[in-house]
Amino acid sequence: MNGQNKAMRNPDAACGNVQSATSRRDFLSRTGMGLGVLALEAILQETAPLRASAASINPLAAHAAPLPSKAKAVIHIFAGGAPSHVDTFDPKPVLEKYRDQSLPGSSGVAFPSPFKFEKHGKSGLEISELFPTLGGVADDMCVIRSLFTDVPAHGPASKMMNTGSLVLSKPSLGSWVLYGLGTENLNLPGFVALGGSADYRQAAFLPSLFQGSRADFARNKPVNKVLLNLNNEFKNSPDVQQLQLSLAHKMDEMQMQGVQHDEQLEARIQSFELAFHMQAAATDAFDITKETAAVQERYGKTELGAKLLCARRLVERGVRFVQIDAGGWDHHTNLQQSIQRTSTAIDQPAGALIADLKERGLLDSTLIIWGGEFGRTPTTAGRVDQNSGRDHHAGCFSIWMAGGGTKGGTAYGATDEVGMTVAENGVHVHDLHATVLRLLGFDHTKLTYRYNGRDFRLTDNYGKIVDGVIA
Amino acid sequence: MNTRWTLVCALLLAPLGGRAGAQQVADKTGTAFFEKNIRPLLTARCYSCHNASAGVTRGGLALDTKEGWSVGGNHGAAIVPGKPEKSLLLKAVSYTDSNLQMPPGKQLSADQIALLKTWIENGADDPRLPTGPGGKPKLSGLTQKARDHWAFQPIKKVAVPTVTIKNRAWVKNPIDAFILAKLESKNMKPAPPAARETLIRRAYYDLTGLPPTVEQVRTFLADRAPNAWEKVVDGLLASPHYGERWGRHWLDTARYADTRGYTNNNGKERFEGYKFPYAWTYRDYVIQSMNADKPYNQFLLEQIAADKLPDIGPNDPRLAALGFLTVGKRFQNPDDTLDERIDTVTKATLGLTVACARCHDHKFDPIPTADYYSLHGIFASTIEPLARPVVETVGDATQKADYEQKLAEMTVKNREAIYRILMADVTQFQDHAEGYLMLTSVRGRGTERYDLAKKYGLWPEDRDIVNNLRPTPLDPVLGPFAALSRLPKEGFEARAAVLLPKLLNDPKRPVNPLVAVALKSAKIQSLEDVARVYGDLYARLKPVRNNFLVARSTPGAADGNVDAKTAELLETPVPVPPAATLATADQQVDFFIDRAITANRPATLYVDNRTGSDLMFDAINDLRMTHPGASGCAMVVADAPKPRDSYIYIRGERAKKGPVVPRQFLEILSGPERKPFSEGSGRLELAQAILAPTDPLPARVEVNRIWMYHFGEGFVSTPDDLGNQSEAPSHPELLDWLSGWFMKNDWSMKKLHRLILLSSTYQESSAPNPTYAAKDPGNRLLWRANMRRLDFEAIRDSMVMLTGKLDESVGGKPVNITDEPYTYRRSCYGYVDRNNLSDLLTQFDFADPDMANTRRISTIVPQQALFFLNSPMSVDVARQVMARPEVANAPDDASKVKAIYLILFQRSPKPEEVSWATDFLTQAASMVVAPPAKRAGPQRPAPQRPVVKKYQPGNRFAPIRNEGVPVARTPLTPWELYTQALLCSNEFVYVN
Repeated sequence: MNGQNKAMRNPDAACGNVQSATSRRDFLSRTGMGLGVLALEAILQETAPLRASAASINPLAAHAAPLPSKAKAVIHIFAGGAPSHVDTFDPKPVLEKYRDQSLPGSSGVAFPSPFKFEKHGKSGLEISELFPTLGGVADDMCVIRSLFTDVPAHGPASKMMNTGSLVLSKPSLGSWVLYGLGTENLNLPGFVALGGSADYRQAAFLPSLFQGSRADFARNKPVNKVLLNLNNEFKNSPDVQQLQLSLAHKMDEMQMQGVQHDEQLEARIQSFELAFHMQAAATDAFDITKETAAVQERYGKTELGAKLLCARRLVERGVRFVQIDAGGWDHHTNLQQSIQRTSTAIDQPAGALIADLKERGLLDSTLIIWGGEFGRTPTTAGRVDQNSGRDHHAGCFSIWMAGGGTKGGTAYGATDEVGMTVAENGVHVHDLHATVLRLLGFDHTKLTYRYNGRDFRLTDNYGKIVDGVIA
Repeated sequence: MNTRWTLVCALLLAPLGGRAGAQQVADKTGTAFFEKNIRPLLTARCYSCHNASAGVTRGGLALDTKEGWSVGGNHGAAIVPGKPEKSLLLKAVSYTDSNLQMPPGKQLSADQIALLKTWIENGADDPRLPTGPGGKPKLSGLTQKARDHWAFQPIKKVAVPTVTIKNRAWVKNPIDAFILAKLESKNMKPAPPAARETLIRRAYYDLTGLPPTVEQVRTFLADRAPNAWEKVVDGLLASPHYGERWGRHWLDTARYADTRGYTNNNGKERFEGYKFPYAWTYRDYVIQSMNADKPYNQFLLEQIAADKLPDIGPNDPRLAALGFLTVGKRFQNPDDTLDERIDTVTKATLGLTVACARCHDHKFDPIPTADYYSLHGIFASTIEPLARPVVETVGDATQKADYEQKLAEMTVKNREAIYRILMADVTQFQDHAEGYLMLTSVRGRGTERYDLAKKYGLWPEDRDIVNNLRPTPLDPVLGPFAALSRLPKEGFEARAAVLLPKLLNDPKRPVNPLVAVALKSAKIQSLEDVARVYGDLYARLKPVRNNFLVARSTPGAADGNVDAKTAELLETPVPVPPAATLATADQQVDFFIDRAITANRPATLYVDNRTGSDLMFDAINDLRMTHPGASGCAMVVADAPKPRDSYIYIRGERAKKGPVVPRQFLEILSGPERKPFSEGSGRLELAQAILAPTDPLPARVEVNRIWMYHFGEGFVSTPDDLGNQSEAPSHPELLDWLSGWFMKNDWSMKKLHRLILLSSTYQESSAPNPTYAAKDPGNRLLWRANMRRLDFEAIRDSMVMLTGKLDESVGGKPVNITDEPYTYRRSCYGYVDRNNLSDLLTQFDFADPDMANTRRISTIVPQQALFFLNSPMSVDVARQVMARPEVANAPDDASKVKAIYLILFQRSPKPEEVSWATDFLTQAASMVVAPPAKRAGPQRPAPQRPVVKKYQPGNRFAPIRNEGVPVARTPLTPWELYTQALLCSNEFVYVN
């Protein structure tokens, strides 16, 4: 199954990459090559003016990616629970022929999808009838049908999808992206997680400022409480807060006279300014009611509609990475009914997101990733009936991406005739990560962080860029 | 294969046939033979799939380096020098094994195979070293160069520099001599001494994590005695707050948390609880050890092997030390849990990343995989016994009684819930025994099973009961069925007629007499007939079943008038033990869990969300963790009854076993007398070996850590890794001198602190010096003091202290330090959920509790500022400061301001600061949305308080909650706003 995966293994690549630590600052000494902050290092050397502006030393400040790229932001819609590929994006009409017969590689019997697939758009991309709205934007979608992972268990596989590691505590995809690129808008957190497990936004050994900020966002929740301590529940008005800040600032100015220059002190002063603005900026960014009724309708007045619309607002305002929890795909039984509900919930918002970003000219610079942690068996236990469901399957599964320099209207890779194994162009999750980083302008082998004597990276010792999905 | 590739192959292969023979005769060893005959062959026929430098290692095998073939791929070493018959490579190329034929497609020629054989026979000389980026030879962990690394060398006896020093007057103790010598060698000199106000604040935060009170500052400023500073230092080292501060540092290293981490709905945490109810006893042990100045070597020894100490008693408080091994993260795979322990123990005690050697020899340090598995054997031979000794009694008699009563109630409820599950499973199975048994005879999950299940009315519900049911021929009740179910359908009757009497008369496998009688008298033509015998048997027993089950589940009841053979039947497929055996909470946990670290849960009992919802395990766990009358137990380990050496796992994969390695210490640190450990698991011997005089690392590592906490940077900047990948130490001589001094002075941390704090180096000011800053921007030479931001604990503890309500009691159960209702306990007593670390903690750079993290990175993000601007905690502090008598009773505004400054900053305000205050108060008064009603007396309007959700005990993942009330959401007065603003200043959170 994962022979290809093993073939890509190259332990020497990361473990052996000795990088002499010559820079003087701990943070910089840990960053790898190919990072915009290398320029910062120069600023911080002897030539630096003593009072460098605090913004220039903020590791969250936006820096350019080393390689040419289109994608500037990522919206990761994590479809936890493992969506069935043969019912969504990987048509397997042949399964009908084998209905109720056992298939090699599974203990159950062939369970043909109860849903029809249709060709969409100019590309003729085949998508299940579960996703009528996505069908309308098929030419912007890039489906990978040959993804595979290591373990068909939700916990480890979800960790793998979100952090590149099955078990160990590693930085999340979003944290790596924020670390690599910084953020365009310092008044908002650079990496926002709209739900989802803490693992999926953790910075692990990266400095904690690269951790995803948990947003307690839901359609009818007050927007000023979305982030911890965003709202002042004691009615301190902005004027009062300005007054407080200006007093603190006067004290800080006085304190800095005659003591050691420390850019940390200035950065901290600036962080209060940012915090002050964040109160209004974040409250505004999360407030989807500021959208026209038509736009709100377009995304659908559901929870996921609200989250995806919110994601668009965040990305529009320069947030680098938005993580959305859109789970519920663990359809062991009653698949026919329940997958319909789950699909309907995401179809309209996701279709609206793609179309909306495109109309606003943001699709090229925004990479949308939708997908779960593994796939489901093309078989069911027993016989096919109305209760049939599908079990966990790591051998192959489908995800889609859109925008951000991906090749629209494409189905990359293929599974065998029944959707049991990868037939061509297998893509391991590490390869997907390598590709996502490439779309953002990084060589995944060079976006590293030194921790405990080793240069770590998102793709560990693995990863191969999938050129076929890059436009 | 494209044309160009073909051409290359042809060129390379062409000479081989012709010259090979001659070459063999001339010289069969040495690199010449290799270069001439073997390298071209490997390049042409093997590299396309086995070339690590090109990123392809199919099957894990690389053939482009000697290391590649000697470590080998998924099947192990590819070549054993001198032993062609044991070399997999030769086997593969010879095409003798149909499953292993390389290269695929076209076999090598007989000549080529012969060359390989010759090469291997003669020792397989191979000069190819691994290459790193740029084609340079890669550092290899097992080279002499790696072994020569400074950290592995004995601690040098270093002379204190004297000769070269000019500024002798500055030198207060040997530390200064080393620092000064280095500074002067660069034509630099130390900064002038810090002001006494600065110094005392620095020392207080350093040693206790709390600011001094204004009285303490005044006393020191007024004390002109030559030993005034010494008195302060000694006083702080004697303070119980010292242990809280330095204990918390060690807890970063020991990756302390109050929860187990990994969760899985049917994993151990379902029964043992997700929270560690007793982790805090380890935390208290650490704090107490620091306060008692327990010698550091003893401290380490106890944490690894307290249970093995000769003088240890059954409830010895030192047993809590073993939490060092057990408070770490748990994983589904026991090997990952062991790995976590190996990683933490070696980083914490040795400053080495031994866990890197789990899958391959360490890339940089002289730690072969074999050494990793030597340690693996030690920890795999260590278990966590159920009996946990009580090491801390807490609470008064009433609280204890209340706890015991609540625990008893919950235990009863839990027992009842367990019996409900058992009875449901037993009833479900026995009422449908015929069908369930037939289902166990069907392999796979296809139509046959489906049709059977439908036939017996068992589809689709309850399939999990049967999924987990795997009768074996050894089972006295189901054994005969299991054995007969293995017979083919054809000729079943005849075969069964032969087999059945044998089964029923086998003295080695006694069959339940009731089953035997029933089977003997039945007419058996098919497996279904056998199943029906069981079905009928259970139908006959139905009248007595309920009585039996009720009797079993009732404490003190007789066995429901059922004899042993009937009971055996009724206890199928799951045991229904007498209530007396499930009387205590621990027995109940143990019923579900084999507590050996490496053992898995028995799969017989299926507990799903439906049936498991009544279980009280989580509630009991929470009660133990939070009830004020619940005593603290030690999270101990013990040696397994049969300690075993571990196999090397090839590439870290359990399924690919290499040779067994003895339990022993790392070779590089063992000295010449390395011996396998023989006493139990070997933990005590391991601890002794770590602390043996031949091992220079523990002292160096700890001295480096202590230095780091005092100065902001260690001699080595990576405190948990002193291996080849670490930067060279800034002051290697001083590091060695201090390490030697530390050991000579009983490994006393307090003596070391004292030495450091009494040095001139420590007392430098942080005065700027642009010239020096250009020379040494990181201040590695310590030409001045480093200004530092306080860590989260110090910030929060300072805030708590300002309220005047700091709870100074040392030790005890965890509290919630981030959420309302707030506590006034110190932050080191905070509950740490490693899976869901509070957002506030992560925003303030709390150490990741999933692994040893001695060093915290200090970041600055706006979310930290939002905490000061908006959190109820900062509001609460501002209000409490204003309510303190010295502030509230101050006669006028200026003296109020002064009182506030003395509390917050332990200094008087400057005149301009007083006028800023006046301006602020005037402006704020005009801005406050709803000016508060004039307070005529102590009454205040009923405060608006937010509704806080009631804490639900037993919610596995919910954080613990403190007693108390949330902060009132009434608007702040101008004075409160003023004080809150002062909390936002840099002065409050920086120590200079």
